[in-house]
Amino acid sequence: MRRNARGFASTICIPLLFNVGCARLVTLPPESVAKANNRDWVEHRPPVKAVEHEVAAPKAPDASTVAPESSAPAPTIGSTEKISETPQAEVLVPPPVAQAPTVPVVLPFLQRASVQSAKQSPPDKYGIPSSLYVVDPLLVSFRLDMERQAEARVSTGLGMIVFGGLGFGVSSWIYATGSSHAPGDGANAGLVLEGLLLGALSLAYVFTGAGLATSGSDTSPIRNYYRETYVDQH
Amino acid sequence: MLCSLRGYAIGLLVLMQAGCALTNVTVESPRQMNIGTDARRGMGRAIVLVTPFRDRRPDTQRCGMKKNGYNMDMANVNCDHGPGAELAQHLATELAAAGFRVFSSQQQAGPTAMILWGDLEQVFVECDNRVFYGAIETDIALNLKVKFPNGTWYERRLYVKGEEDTFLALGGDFQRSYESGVRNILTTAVGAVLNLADHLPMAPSAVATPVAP
Repeated sequence: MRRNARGFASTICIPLLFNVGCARLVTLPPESVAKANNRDWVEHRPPVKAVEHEVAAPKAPDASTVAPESSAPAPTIGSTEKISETPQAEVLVPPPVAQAPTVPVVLPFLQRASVQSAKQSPPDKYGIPSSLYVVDPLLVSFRLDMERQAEARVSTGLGMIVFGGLGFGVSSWIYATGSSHAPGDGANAGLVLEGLLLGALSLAYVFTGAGLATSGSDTSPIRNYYRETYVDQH
Repeated sequence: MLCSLRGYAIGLLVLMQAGCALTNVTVESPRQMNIGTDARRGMGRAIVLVTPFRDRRPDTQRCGMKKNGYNMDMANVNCDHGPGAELAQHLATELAAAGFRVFSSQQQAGPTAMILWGDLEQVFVECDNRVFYGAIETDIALNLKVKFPNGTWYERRLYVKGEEDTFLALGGDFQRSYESGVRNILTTAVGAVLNLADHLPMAPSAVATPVAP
């Protein structure tokens, strides 16, 4: 029995243990994304021309020359990083940029009556006034992204539940086969152990899948946009 | 019978951990984002968008990696075109849909136009292998800069993550994750530019005849 257990452990459990979600190699963990974002725009005033030694503000690319790659400015004031990329020929002629349709409205967005009344509507489960979705398509876009993420989690979770259910069925069969033989038989005791371990693994799949399917989605993008647009601007 | 069944199960398990990550995959930029920015918040203001965004990614040779169950880099995720050009083009389309008049040249836009340019600092698709499933994540970092006619300019770094949870990590999952990241950065960028523009006084040329909303 011990030999069977060791064999099981070495051939199944060890590969699984190595597959325990090792660290990301390039992408950031979700909790670090907020830190990588600037919460708001950073303002840079134009430099005083009389002070020659002051670090100059970056010059915006001269779009009239249509050479954005070569005329792009330094990334930040005070940065000592050199920009040494050579211009690429393919960027010398940028693709045509879409033109906006005629826009007759000049009232600032937050001052429109429809927006003001929408802000008074009752909040949804994310804390956002529900009528704002009607007047602000960006909120709808954020919401759709959240729903897509949640759908992916539900489908993945359901797949894990099905997979775990199948595994649990197989483990039950192995356990029943092992326990149907005479007690004290070493080989069949090993089957019982395998059935128990596989059953536990299958149940873990089921519970993890259920947790994933009900985990929803990351709400920070829509909350950040709402805060920036409707809360911080007052 | 049980022994052979067990052998097959072990073999399948080992293959699941080590395989399925040996071939490169190419992700395509979505043709239309359908972000739906038709809020008329741009109010006809002119903006010059410098395209493409400067590519300052740490790894410009690829857009991501495929890994096996042991977290080993096995194959590349490639972009079908330069992500800097594609993102800039998508952003131009979405800003126009939001009500801006978008130009590629300051001569066309006039002296009162804002100038928008940016550095693409990260585009990377990677599978985060978890114990029982995986999540394909797409990180996109864009450093946006906006200069106004008075010489003041603003800078903001946007970092977003697209995510697609998956059980088997097939090629379509990489595509959906990439699309999620692109959609997320565009929505965030358009919102950021709109909020910045709303903060500042409108240029006289942008003021048209008032019309009730």
